[in-house]
Formats: sequence, C-alpha cells, structure tokens
Amino acid sequence: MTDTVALALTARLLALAVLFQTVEYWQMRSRLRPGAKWDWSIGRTEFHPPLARVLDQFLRWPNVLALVGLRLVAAIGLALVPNLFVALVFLCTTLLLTLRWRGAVNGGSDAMCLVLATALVVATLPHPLATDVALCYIAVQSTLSYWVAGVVKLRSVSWRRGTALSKFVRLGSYPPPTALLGLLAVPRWMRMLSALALTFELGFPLALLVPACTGPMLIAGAVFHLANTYLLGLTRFLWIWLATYPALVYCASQLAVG
Amino acid sequence: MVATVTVPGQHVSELSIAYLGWLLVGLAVVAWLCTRRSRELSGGLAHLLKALVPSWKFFDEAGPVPRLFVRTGTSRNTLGPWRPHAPRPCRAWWHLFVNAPVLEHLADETTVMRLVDDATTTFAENPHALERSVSYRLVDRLARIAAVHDGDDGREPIAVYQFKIALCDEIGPVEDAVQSPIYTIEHAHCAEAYR
Repeated sequence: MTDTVALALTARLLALAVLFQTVEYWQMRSRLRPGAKWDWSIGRTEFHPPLARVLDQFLRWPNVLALVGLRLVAAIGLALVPNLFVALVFLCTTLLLTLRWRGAVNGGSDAMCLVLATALVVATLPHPLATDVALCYIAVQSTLSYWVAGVVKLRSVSWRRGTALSKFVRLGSYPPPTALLGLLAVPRWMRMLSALALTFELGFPLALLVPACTGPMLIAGAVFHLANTYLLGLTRFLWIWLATYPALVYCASQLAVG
Repeated sequence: MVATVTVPGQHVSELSIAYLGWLLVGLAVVAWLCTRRSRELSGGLAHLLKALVPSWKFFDEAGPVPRLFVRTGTSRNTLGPWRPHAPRPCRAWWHLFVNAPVLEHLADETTVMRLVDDATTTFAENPHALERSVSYRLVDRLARIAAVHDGDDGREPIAVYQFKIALCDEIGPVEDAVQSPIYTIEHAHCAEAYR
C-alpha cells in the first residue's frame, strides 16, 4: 500500500464515520434547542464573555446545525479532493463541536476524530514528509490507544479477576443480553474473557511492529470493536478506529521495508 | 543546522532542528497543561486541551458508577420515590451504524460524572459555589426535563422535583455523592423546549 492510497482510504473511512455522526446529531437536534438539555446558554458561561460571543455565532441554535453540516461537507471534501483548506475547515468545525460538548460527546471517539483531523491537516501541508508524518501519527496514536488501555486495565485487580468486565457489561448503556447473563455469572469465563481482552490490547503494538501480525491483529481489532458496539453501544468507536487501520497497514509495511 | 530524520520508507535530511525543537516544546506545553489539576486549569478551553491530548484510559476504574436519580411531587411534602432519570436504550440492528440513543445516554452519563468530579475536586471546599457551576446546572437541566416527563402520564401536574447522584454497583445505589435541594418547576418555561 502506498502512502497516497493509505491516506485516501483514511479520509474515506473518516468521511463515512462523520456521515454516521452527522445523522446522530440530526436525530438529537431537539436536545440542542434553547431550554433543552444541551442548551448552549449554560455551556457558554464557561468562557470569557468576548470569546463566548464569538462562539455564539457557531454554537448557538440553530447555527450549530449548520456547523455540523459544514463538518460533513468538509469530511466528504477531504475524501474526494484532499487539500489544506478543506482539512482546516474539518479540524476547526470538529474543535468547535468539541467545545459545544465540553470536551467530548462520546469520549475517546471524539479524541480519535481529532487525531485524524489533525493528521489530515498535516498530510495536506506542502512538504515531502507530510503524508508519512501524518500516517505515522495516526498509527502511533491508534496503537497507543489499545496499549495504554491494556496497561491501565492490567494494573486493576478487578480486571485481572474478571469482575470488572462483568460489571461494565451489566452497568453498560444497554441492558446485558439475556443470552449472556449465565456467562456473566461464571467467574472462570469472565477471567478468561478479561485475559483475552487484555492480551489483545497489550499485544496490539505487534500490529505495527511485526508485519505478519498486522492482518490478524486488525481483524481482531474489528471483532473487538464489534463486540463493544453490541455489548456497550460504542458505535462511534467502531467506525473511527477502523479509519485508523489504513495508516497502521502502511506504517507496518514501511517498517518491514526499513 | 540540519538534522537527519528517518521516517518509514524515506531517508530525509531536510527538517531543521529548530522546527523539531519548537514542535517538542509545543507538545511539552500542551502535555503539561493537560496534567494540571482541573482547579488550576478551568474554563471551557481546558476541555479542548484534554481532548487534544487523549489519555486512552478506557474502562480502567471498575468502582461504583455515578447515576442520576430524580423524584417528583405535587408539593414539597408529597415527593415520590427516587427513579433513574432515564431508562437504558434498547438494542437495534441499525445501532451498528447510527446510535443516537446510546450516544445521548453516554453524554448524559459524562455530564453526571463531571459534576461528581467537580464536587469532589474543584468545589470540595466550597460546596455552595457548586450550585452555580456549569456541571451542576447541566445536571439540574437533565433532572428538570426528567421531572417534566414524569408529569406526562396525566396525573396531577408535577410542581417540585429533587435530584441526587448516587454511586451504584451491580446491585443498586451504594452511597449518595450529590443531592440537590427541592426545586419548583416553572411550567411557563418548560413547555415544548423540554420535550
């Protein structure tokens, strides 16, 4: 895979993820109205008044819907005709939405979206290294996201015992699936599944460092995110992390060549 | 001065040390700002900095989870039982692509967690100021909307509500982290906007 192909795939997968995110924002638009739960008049008080007045132009109702729409247009533009201006529009609209939700509406998925937005700005800079640096940044952040998550879990006694996994599934956004209730009650199974998740997360750097492991690890990653989507409803994580995989494939192949 | 930099697939000697130096200084400043405690680094831009330097610590703490509970009544003396502020969403096949119900649920959970965090850090020594904080006002809005919905079933109109955030485990609430006073609902302000 060449750097151009990897970057194009990244931009297209990102556009797909942003399309799904935009549909979600549209479905939740009534929550953004004045008086509703995400009323900008509350959040804006965190900013100094002059800055708040500037942000009002983008984040108040109904302007915020135009901002969400512009972000989608920029994401699609990046997938079709990548250039610095469009990349900057996508980064700025994403940053503004980040402010609207006090940092994140969906935690890590927003952070990874910002990683991709930043990388695409770098990739469109007129410098011979730009694409490689951007793809490396995405690949390193993607690898770190699994590895750091694995390390912090490994430190936790409840994760090593398997009780944490059972707890997160039981207390997740969805009620636990009826078919899994029996499994969740068996400590031995929970320990085994926890060990499997920890092994995958801690071993993920192999996807970047050992080319023979890249394919299997990325397939395992997709299955991991599908399971999280089914059990915990983490849909945004699935699509935004898939968008980082072309960069991983490219960087792993380049490290092998090097 | 020119540095030799090796990147995958290329051997390039065009990046200046000055450029790399400024990049490293910039990253160091951002990282330093992000590691400051929230009381030192407050305001809306702090959220932006934290988002720009992700921690990737997913599901690391398996302790009790903060949950918002609301109770309502027709007067201060007739408050009903505590109820979760919103039911958990149900699965659907299209949630593989678009999942607004869970996104909304998770965003509300984050709002609640931030209030608990603020109550135990930024406002730990000044609980009276907590009520004026953005986190508190956002959670109050969630509770108020839940209270208004509670009156949708045609009983007597809801006049008052109260909310609390309880730390819950798999069995149920373990202890209360935040409890509000009893508030009245201004029906003139909540008509369609809360729905």
